[in-house]
Amino acid sequence: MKRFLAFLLALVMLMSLVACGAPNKGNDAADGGNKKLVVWLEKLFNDRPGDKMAERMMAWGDANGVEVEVSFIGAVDFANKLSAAIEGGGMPDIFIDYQGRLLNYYPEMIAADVTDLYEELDEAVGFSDACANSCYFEGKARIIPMYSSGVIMYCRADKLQAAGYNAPPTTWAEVVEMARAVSDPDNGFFGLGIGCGPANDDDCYDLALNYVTSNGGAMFDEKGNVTVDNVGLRSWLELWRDLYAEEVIPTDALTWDSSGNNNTYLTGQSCFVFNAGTLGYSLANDESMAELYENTWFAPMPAGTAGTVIGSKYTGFSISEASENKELAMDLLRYIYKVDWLTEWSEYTIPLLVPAVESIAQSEMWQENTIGKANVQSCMPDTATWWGYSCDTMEGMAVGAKLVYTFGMNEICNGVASGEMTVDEAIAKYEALAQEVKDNQ
Amino acid sequence: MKKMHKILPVVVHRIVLIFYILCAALPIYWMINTSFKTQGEIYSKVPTIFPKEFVLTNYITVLSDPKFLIAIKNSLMVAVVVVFISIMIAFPVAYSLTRRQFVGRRSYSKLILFCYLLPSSLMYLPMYMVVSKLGLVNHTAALFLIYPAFTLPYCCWILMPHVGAVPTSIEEAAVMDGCGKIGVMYRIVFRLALSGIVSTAIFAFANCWGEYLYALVTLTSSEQLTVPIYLSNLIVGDMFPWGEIMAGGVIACVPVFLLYMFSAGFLSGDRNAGGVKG
Repeated sequence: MKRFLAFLLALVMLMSLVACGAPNKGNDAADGGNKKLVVWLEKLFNDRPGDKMAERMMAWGDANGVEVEVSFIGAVDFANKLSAAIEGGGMPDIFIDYQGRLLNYYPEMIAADVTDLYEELDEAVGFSDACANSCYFEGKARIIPMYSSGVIMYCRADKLQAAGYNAPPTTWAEVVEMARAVSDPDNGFFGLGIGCGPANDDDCYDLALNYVTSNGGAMFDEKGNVTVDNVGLRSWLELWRDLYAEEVIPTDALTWDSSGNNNTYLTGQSCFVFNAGTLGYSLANDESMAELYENTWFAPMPAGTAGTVIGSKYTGFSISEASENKELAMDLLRYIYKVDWLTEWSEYTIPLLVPAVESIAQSEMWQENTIGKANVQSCMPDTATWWGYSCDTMEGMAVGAKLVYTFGMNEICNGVASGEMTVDEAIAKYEALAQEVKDNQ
Repeated sequence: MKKMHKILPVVVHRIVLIFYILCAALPIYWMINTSFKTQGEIYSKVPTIFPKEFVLTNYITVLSDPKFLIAIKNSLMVAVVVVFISIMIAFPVAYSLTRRQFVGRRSYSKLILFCYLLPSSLMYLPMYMVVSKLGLVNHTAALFLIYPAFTLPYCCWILMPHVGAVPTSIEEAAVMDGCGKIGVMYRIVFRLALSGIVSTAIFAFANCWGEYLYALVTLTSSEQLTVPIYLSNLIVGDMFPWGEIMAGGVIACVPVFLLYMFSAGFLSGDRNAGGVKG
């Protein structure tokens, strides 16, 4: 009995060693030469658009004898899974991608060059002009744009009307004036619901960048030199300092994470917040929030002294550089990018995911929806920004993307608001940080 | 005055105990409380201790999602299999380390302690690479290989004192009655150390049930997900459907709670009592 058990154990160990030594199968040629495509999509605000997309992909797979495996991953978890796949193997053939995600892996380029495909599909369906800023990297397209989730301005209509304002603001100056007018901190109501907590994701930076660029500033110049000390950022920090001291910004805003501005609006504590359309979608589809929905104006982002220069980051499909089925992946994407089907798909994504196809975004369906229209206006400005704006080299854009996730903007806004730093000290600190990120690239 | 001196320490002791119980119980109560509220009430300016409007919609939403039931099934399967593997391997290991003398015994037990203390998050990339090489990415079976790497050292280390508490004289008596070594290990010591084995199994089950990181990087498709990943996927962007997340969390607590309830009989009582005279 003992000998038998010992033999069994030895056999199991031997088989384990053999299995560990076997090469990774990869995604092609499982049996009989059948091809397989692995697609990773991001979980959306509801399952219907994702399910429709998966259905379309698998229908293509069935018609072409290709096994298409579609998986939905939460946005919060996507980066971890992608990083593990890059390091450990098992990259999908196609994955949902956007500029910031791609740039965080620079100088490693995880997405294949799809310039020819981009031009082909642009001619076929007509992408918005703003898409190229999100999808081209040093003259090469790495992402085929699918949608954008722009940031819109939510305004408490009842509070503004009570203060004598009958329309949402169109400029930052008007936002600040109205926010001051409606603030009532003694009764727990604040004019401007913006946050800068240490774990505030990219919300704090994105809003800061929108303000800075709309007011004539930029964190980098065209050559990628750090230009943090600019009129736009100074103005933004002064705004934080002054409005926080006046209690126009909620006192706990220095601790918010990325859901903080949602919470402040949903709890009825703030008049203005800036958020993706997901907040509006929740308001519109939850009966218990009907009153708040009725008392909300949905407006595009306000203009600054230099007009409306805001980020419209398009999300789309990247083909993995490691994929052994690039041509097959391109064929699949060609099947997805048909105007008729994209229009039908857009019915499931309205009002949140602004289509990359301009004709669909400008269609009646989108323009007659209050949230959708505001979203489209925020996604298709005359001038779009990107992380690393105004430098458009890969290196400059990567520095910009990596700067976001140092949470340095959160720190200096926090410091200025709490009085720990002056504006000059904050700018000097951020300049040093940006330079450090650039030097360590 | 003398009575005060006697009563005061007891009162202080009770107050401190109540405080700690509240700290432990309050998050659980709040989870249950939130699960029965509407989204509007959850986001009300002043939090409510009891739901103003008691709703079951969050539970209905979660329970009517087939992916949630699949996640429960996957989590149960993984936890049960891993606990079984862990106890079956850990018990003989613990027995050998406590009862047998062999070269390197102390070093081996220190190695187990080292493995137990190693932060699990350090190994997720190497583990993922192993799983990827074996072609088990996106298979729940991958977790059968990964989880024992953490539960085994824990089970071994915790079982050692439980096995060591069984008097050797009982084993000697069994040997004198004709019991072989394997028989002594399983028919005598295993049964006498059962309370320790059950409590170790429960902790191992709870760890597997609630594990997030390895399930996240290994599993992708909805048919393979476990409960923690399912609950995490309810969050879209920066919108947190708190009611549904809390409802899912409450339901997820039920198996572990039931396990504790049904195992209570095994956890109490000294099985060695009366076994040895003097």
